[in-house]
Amino acid sequence: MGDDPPRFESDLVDVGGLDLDLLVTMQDTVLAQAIRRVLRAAECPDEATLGFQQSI
Amino acid sequence: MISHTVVPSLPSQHSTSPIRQYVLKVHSRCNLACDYCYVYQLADQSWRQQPLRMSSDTVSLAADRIAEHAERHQLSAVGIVLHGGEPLLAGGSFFSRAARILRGRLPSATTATLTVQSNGVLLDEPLLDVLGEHEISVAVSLDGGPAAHDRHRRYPNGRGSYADVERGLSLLMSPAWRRLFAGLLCTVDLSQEPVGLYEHLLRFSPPRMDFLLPLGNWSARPPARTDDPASTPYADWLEAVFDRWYSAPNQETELRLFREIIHLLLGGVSYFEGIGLAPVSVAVIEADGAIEQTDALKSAYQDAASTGMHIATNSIDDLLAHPAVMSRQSGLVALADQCRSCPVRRVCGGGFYPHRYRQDEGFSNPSVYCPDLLALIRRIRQRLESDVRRLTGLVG
Repeated sequence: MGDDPPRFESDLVDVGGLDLDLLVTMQDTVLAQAIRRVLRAAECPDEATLGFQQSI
Repeated sequence: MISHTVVPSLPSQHSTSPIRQYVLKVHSRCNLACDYCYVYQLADQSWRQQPLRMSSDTVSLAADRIAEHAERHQLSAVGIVLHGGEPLLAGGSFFSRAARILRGRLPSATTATLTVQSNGVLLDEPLLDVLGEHEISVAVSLDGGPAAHDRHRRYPNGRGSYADVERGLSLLMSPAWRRLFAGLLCTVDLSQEPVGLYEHLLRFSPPRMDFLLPLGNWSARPPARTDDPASTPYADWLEAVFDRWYSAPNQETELRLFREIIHLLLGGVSYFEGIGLAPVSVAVIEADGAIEQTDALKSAYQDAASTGMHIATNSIDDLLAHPAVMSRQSGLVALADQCRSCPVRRVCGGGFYPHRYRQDEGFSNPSVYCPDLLALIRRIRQRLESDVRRLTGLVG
């Protein structure tokens, strides 16, 4: 809410220090999959658009 | 009451994104009478004027418009959601015919992904054979176990639908049709225990699922969503599910809302309209051929999703010039002042558009779920940041 003072200036989580080789050995956790997804998106960016919420 | 054309003013130079996803309302009636349904139970009653089923002529016209737009914008892929009402009421022969028409009209360079979003009670072997023959994926709405599901999702006579959905899902999970299973959609009910409910849904091994916040707005508040900004019942409920989902040694299913929040927090972009600032890329084609905006807007007021356009007379490019669509493709500039200065604006994106409505003001408001969205995003960010710091060796 707007009444709360901002607790961080950027909403991004800094993953700059992550060892990418570590991802290969990590279990298939949610975090590992999420980082792999970001790396894939960085390699093959496409136009981002928002799809329909009331279906999956 | 205000018109759907009351939208934030936008810069005169505004680029548009093509429509990549189409929602075809192939049947306008339903065999269930769910108490929260935005098509039948909330503000808009336009379904009463719709034909029961989309005709073959309307499917053909829609296919031509989709193909025309795909060719003009050189789209390599489009998504088509066969929706309702309950779309499976249209019958197997309809899906066979519709799939052939929709795919057959597309340019050779464009592929179509077809999905049917169903309540699941009509799934049987002959219908699944037809859907499988045409590679039409099946997503099912399921609100938890028998008690949770049957609390809301009942037949008109009051009988619960869980047993029939479970039977349909068991067929969909079998080897013959498993590849068609797109996932589960569940509407949040705060009275249900969140982790037990999530684990019940996991029993069906859905490849993906999502929890939808109940439709509501500032003038028709969702259950328990009070004025108190310190109260975050939906964030609390969802956080319990998040912790269970996130902590699994191996990801058990894709959970769309959390997956997209994490992706945004890591620098990516979201791909569904519940969260994020990317341009909305959805067109709804009603059973009579009317072109509309996302149909959950019907929860706000009568004809809220209407554009006045029809596939017989309008192209999909015409829709891109509609003020409401332009607004929803404008990102940060179209948000309320309060949202534009919010520290999580890029992730939240103002929340789901129908949740922003306030009678006499329109949609230039934060989401009615603003306190919950802010709390949920912050908690997920804290969890992510903690884990990333641990992995980078800065802590622990």
